[in-house]
Amino acid sequence: MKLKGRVAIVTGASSGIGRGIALELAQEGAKVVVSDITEVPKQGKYHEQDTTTPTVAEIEKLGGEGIFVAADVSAESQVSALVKASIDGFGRLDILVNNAGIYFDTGAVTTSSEDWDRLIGINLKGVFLGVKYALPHLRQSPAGRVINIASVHSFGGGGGPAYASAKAGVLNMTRDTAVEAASDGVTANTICPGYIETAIQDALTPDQVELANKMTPLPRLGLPRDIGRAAVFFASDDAQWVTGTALPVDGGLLAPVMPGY
Amino acid sequence: MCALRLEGKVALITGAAIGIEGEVMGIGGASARLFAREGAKVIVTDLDTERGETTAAQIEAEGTPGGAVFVPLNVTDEQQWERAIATAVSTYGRLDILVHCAGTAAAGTVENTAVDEWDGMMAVHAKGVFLGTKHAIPHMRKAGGGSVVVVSSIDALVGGSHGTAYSAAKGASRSFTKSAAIQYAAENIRVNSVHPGYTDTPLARKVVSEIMADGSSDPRIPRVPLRRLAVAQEIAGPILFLASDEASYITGAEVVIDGGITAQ
Repeated sequence: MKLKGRVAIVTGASSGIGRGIALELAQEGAKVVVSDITEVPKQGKYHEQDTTTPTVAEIEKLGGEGIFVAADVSAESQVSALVKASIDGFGRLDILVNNAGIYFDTGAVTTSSEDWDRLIGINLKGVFLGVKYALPHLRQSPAGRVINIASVHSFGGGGGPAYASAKAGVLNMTRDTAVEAASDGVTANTICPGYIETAIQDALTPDQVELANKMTPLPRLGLPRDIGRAAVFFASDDAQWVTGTALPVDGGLLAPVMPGY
Repeated sequence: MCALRLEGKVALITGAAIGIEGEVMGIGGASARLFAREGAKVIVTDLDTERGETTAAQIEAEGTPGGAVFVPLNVTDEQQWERAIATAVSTYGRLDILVHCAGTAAAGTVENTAVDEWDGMMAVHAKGVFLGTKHAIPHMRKAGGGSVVVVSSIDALVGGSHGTAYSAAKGASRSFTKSAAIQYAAENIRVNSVHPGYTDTPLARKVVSEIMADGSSDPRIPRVPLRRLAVAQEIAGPILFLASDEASYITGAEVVIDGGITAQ
């Protein structure tokens, strides 16, 4: 087991990518603080239709240890309470995975100012708040890690102004965290998922889902555990000299000059 | 849960001779040792027959779950590639993983770089990667998929003050990686690059000693946020990750392993 004795916080971990990350970290021996706005997993219309058990119950089935802590990552007091819950529950914090995020596909004209603030609050400010409160504890760890979940949308347009801005922001914030935290051996990296089979894809039309399938070079779409394995890599000793980087886990989506060409 | 990460896999690694216990290791040598510990059968290849045989023999003698055999290989020679890959397949029955680690380095500005130095860099880092991949793909197809890992450099991402030909050749291998990734993704053959920063290998020691020959201090460490050089084993870890099924959805990607240099 690569992460025995380590303690991780994963935000947005009741379903989707966060759940996949929490399970893979637990599989490698980490104790996981599972955080989300609710413990009840989402069901999607395309994917995750049958997900019903809470993530902590799945961790326990693997023989692992986890606790659920409710938090809205856009609220400062809730993020500081989340970090405190990790310290109170497990006595330490080694890995912070900022995964919580929302998506809606509206354009510049149709996105309301309130929706912009909500998305930026969760997808971007939430990452900042997580690092702000976790970093003092990560600095105490022999293997402190920040792992932020951005997107292939970090690199290009097409996801609406709020999502594209937030995800590009996460990418560069991670580099900044990497430079700031390096002196204590803490690393910070970004994972940039392509199309992953989760309930967040409910925002897409069936035609858009079909298009994603066609555009992805590898002969399948991504699964939450694909992102989970990349998170294990960054958290593990394999990646101790890797910091400030971005890893696409996208089935090759970003590699072509013209996707689908 | 604690299964070996390359169980049943056969891997050919170029530039893998410098993996001798007790000596400073090269990236290829450290990868060969790590791969064998994780269950892979490793074809250690290099120009340096003496050290390559020692590395392979030490891996075998340690009784690692995998094993190793040495095959001499000049990566710029197509016939030698054909022979090396044929040996891999006849010895171990298949080929799943190819790691392009063979490399040389030279410092030189545009004006100071001789044409044969330029050609030599391109031959090893660009043509060598092309030839090996070309001859490995048919065997990976037979195996139902595979993983090619190209060891490029941060010099493929940003400019350096030294090493014109080296930077250009490493840039070529980076673009090659993405092109090959797209071509073979449908067949589940993944192609990714890694981009090490300053790593304390025998090759790097040689280059830096040339730069420091005029009495200047080691220019590297102040540029690294993690404030130290990497050891080869720290580059081998990410190579192992990309080679293994843990990275089964990752292709055409570049993994930077530089202690934060290019994040600044």
